[in-house]
Amino acid sequence: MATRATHDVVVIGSGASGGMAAYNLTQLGVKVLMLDAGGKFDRTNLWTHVLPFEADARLRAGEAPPPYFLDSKNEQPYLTPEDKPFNLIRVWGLGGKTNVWGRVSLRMSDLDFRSAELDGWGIPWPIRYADLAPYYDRVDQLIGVCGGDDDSDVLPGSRYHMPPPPPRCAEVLLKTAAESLDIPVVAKRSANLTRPHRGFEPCHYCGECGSGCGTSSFFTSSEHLIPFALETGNLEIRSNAVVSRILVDGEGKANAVQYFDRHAGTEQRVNARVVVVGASTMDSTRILLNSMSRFHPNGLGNSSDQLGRNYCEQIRTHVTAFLPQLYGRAYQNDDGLDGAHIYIPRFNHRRPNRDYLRGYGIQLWNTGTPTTGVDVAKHLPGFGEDFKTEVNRRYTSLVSMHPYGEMLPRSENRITVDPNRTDRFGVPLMRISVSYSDNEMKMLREMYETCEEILHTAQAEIVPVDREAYDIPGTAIHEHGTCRMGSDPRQSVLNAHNQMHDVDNVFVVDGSAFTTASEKNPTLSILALSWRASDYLAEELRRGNL
Amino acid sequence: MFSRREALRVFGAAAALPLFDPGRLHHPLAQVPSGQAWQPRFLDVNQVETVASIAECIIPRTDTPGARDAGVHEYVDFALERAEATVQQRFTDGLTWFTAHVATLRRRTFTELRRDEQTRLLTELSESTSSQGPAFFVQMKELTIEGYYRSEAGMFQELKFAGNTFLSEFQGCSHEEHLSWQPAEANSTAERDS
Repeated sequence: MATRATHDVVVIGSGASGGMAAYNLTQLGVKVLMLDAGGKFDRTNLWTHVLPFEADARLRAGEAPPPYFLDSKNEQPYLTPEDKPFNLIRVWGLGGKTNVWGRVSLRMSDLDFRSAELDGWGIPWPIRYADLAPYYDRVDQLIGVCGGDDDSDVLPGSRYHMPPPPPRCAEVLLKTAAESLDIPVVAKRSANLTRPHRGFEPCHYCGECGSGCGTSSFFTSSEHLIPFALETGNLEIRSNAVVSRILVDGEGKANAVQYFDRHAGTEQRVNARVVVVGASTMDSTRILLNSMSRFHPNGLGNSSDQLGRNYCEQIRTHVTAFLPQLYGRAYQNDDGLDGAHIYIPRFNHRRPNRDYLRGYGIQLWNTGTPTTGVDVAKHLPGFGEDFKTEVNRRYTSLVSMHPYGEMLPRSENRITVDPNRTDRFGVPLMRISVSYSDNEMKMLREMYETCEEILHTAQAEIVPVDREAYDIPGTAIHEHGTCRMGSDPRQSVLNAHNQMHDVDNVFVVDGSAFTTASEKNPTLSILALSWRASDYLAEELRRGNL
Repeated sequence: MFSRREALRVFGAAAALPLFDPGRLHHPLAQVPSGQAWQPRFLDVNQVETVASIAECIIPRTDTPGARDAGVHEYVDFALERAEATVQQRFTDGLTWFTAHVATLRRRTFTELRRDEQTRLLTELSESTSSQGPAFFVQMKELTIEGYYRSEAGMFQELKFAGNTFLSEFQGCSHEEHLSWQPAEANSTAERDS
């Protein structure tokens, strides 16, 4: 069963983290075998330019868009306690979640890397902004990120932003309102090309990135990294390889990866000198926990007992309103980028009297981008001719605010594996036990207050909200912390180069490595960390240290 | 850019759907499959008629198409067919209750009532304190909204939507009244300062 060839590096996963590791390593001359849990998505059949009623007709006729999202229930179930629901969103297939990601590209700052020193919660990151800054620069140049020239203690600037698209009417009004409250508003940083770049066409502002981009005008691992890695001749991709375990030799070092063919169900093994894990936070952690051996009885590299613990992400909610300044305004095509053209970075640390730790930023998708009118109509009372007139009058005036607040890492928020419940390959399932704490609930209260403060200032009519409501964990798709980096091997799983303290030929390069979640969208940081880690890996290989 | 055959296909699609912005020609559209006349798959024929009549009360024809013109009943049938079993059951129970409720009250079917009678009945229903009436009305209203404001008639004729297209540059806001707008308090401060 075991193939005789030993690969220099086996990369598990093809998304932002695995894709970047493979891209960088192959450029540096390292032979890489990539194991991908799915196959290549059919990009000739994107439904990006299929309107809702066309989509209905197609669905009725039995057609379907590319099946990006994994049917977890039937393919790889996860268990949760009844009172702790979790919404795990997965994409198995080339490029992973980058095929459909939100593209918000924010640099973390020393407020994030130093958060444990600043407030005493958790352990410090083993790196500082200065360690990652050169890699953020490289990532911005490679993938193409549009954004402004702003630069702050919260959100470090970049010299490599492409010009951002200008704000829409509703965004102009909210920006003015927020700024009058001393809340800075910046151009959203988004991995959309607003200029031609590396042979890719610029964005055509159709506003439908979420369905996949036929012109590859936003960054995806599948279009912007992997083809370049393949060009080097150093990359081999094995599709539909659902990794179950990393196997170790007589000294406890990794020497092979076990996987099951997604369709045939057959067990396979590949030998590896070095393993790079980038299967996304939850599945990477599941694989490592299932990689038990005499040397690693609680999972691979888990002598600290921190593997699977300290889950963190963001608490998120939504506030919707109408801007009367825009009532009755004629339609204009404001689709632009899918999502907002502005962003409200964290500002709470500049204000006094907080009763919670950390902070939140605010996103504004679905603000001033009239599309179907469904969102407008669902928020209005009544029916009949007056109702129809009112929907029409408010069609262009809908705005939405979506604050993301940092969730503190806590030991008890954790992933485990259940030996008594197995998947169709006989591999133990993961159990996710996560809930928000008092700190997040306090922050949530302020998140609502801030949104309402800005909206009131903008003279908006706010749709009544349930201020206890928030998205259930997992929904933001920003999972972190379960395989964290740290300087102290007793308190962390990985060192400052994403290398396991216990097993030096295993690197974990996805969101699970984050020591804290911050309030920011993680992908840009994942790309930078994976690039940095794979630079180190290649150098260690060259020196014969691995 | 396109092969001739592809171009013909694209222009053919555009001709069949004249409401589309010509900018959409940058994106070859696959033809929406067409075939036999529409047949309900979830509702029966009487239910379709009731649904169409309620939907038309919720979004009536004015100088733009109403729910019936937009085929909302077809959408409702489609959405229910694909819905979870609990949602299907809730709708079927609600519709059965509604039909019986109308028969008791007016000794006729909802479709046979005059429009003003229909509207009065729905108004009472939406405002009633019973559990079933408002719940059914809300479900029906939501389905009508989804069906109408996602339809070709709803998006293009009612709302004048012209997006999801190809723009070489994004213009953004260029309206003086928005760019120079100031919140009320800031204005009063400015006046005091001057």
